[in-house]
Amino acid sequence: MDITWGDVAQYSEIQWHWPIAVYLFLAGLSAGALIISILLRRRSVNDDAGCSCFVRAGSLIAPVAIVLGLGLLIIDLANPLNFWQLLIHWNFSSVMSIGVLLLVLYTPVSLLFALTVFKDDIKIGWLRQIGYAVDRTWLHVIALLLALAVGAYTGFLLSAMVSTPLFNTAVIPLLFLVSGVSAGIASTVVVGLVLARRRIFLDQLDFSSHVDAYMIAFELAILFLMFVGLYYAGGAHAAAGSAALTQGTWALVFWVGVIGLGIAVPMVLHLFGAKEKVADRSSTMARVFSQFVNRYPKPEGAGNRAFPVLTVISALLVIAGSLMLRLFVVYAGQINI
Amino acid sequence: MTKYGMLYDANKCIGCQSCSIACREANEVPRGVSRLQVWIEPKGTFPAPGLEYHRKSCVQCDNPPCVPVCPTGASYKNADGITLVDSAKCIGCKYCVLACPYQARFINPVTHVADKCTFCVDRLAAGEKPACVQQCPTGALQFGDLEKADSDVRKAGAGKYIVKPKEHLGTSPKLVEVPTKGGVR
Repeated sequence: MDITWGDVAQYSEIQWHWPIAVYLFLAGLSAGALIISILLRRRSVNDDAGCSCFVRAGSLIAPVAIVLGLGLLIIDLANPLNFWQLLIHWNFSSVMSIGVLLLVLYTPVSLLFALTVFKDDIKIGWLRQIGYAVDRTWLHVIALLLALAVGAYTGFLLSAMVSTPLFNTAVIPLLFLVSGVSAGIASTVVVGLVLARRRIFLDQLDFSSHVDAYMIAFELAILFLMFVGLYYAGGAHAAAGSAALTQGTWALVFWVGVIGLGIAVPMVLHLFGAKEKVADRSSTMARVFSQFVNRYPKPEGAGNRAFPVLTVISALLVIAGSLMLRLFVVYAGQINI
Repeated sequence: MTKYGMLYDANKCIGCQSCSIACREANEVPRGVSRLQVWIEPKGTFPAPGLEYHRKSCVQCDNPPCVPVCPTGASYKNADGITLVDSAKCIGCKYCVLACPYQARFINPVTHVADKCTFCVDRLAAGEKPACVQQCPTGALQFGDLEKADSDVRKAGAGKYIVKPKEHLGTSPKLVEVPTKGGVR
């Protein structure tokens, strides 16, 4: 439309920038790390496995990621010094307000769970006692439910907006939850492997990478449903959906970043990664890498099994893909209205 | 209780922007942002070119999408059906700006909170009409209580073909438009 008078920048301005996209990513990643950490801990037959490098990594990533994300949320406010209004005025018809309530519960619960995992390393007596006191099934149940809620809420935050066709779809909450869980598992695997100081439980590694592989396959299916849904919704929805997939930089980010690097390559790598474990081989690159990460201990009876390079590369790509998905949805959604 | 509404007749609008300037003056709207604009769109081709006029402002939805999304309740509808922002409660999260299907909201660069057309709520309290309505030289803008049959807005709309912008979104706008007859003029 040709406008013959006035400054029209405000009508096409991007309102939510990268800090919001990164926050949505970090919240999902945090929830995913907490979920895999709890699952691994509950699957463990002994204390050693229940405090493995992966359980530890996940339990630490969860609170760290969510706190970083909350920081980003606050700095992105136009009126950041007024943020405390969120805590004294509640409006439960607003997904954002529900999200604040969830985060107010989720953040301390994720810290409590980390406390139960690290309780034997803590020197402060009372803190250690709290760790022992809350190391119960009920904490795991509450933490799992809150993690699922936080992962899904990041999607409801967008899907609640009737103004923006790309956001206003039924599957976005599920998409963000699944993508967040896959990024959370991937980051748990990477941080767990790199920082490992004790025995690495290969069954935990296999379980994590398998769940992750299922998650990205599921993510691909949800993305397919989302765009088919937009297409059949017609009108502004169909137009926004096809523009998002075909026009501009964000379409490239979607096809190359989200689909290619974030889903397709990790799926292929997972197949080789699985073989890498079964064959117990070590490639030259893997040997170099395992010398570089010299803390990596050789598991007993595992022969010359090396640092699982393909698994780590795949996990890093999954994390990057999850971040690019948030950036794509947030920016392409606001551009195509 | 009143239910304020406005009618914009594109057939009477000459695109002079008096309304927009009056709004700026009355509400101290900073440079670079607008509560109200009139967009002039060239339409048609030679030998019959023409212009089409549109008012861009808050349409004062009866069911405003910007109100339920507000996490602190800063965005609210008053007893007269006017959607307003309580700047003391606003944290500037921009959720309402994004949720508005009419792009009628913006972050005020001076106050750093969400801002929008208020139907000049202070002028209404003093018994005056909104600044844009008072300033319009052709009577293209009419204002009044939608529930009173003899109000200016009801009389101006009687028997006319009326469009409620993006009505399909379920927003029930109270700012309605009489579109240009035949598309251009």
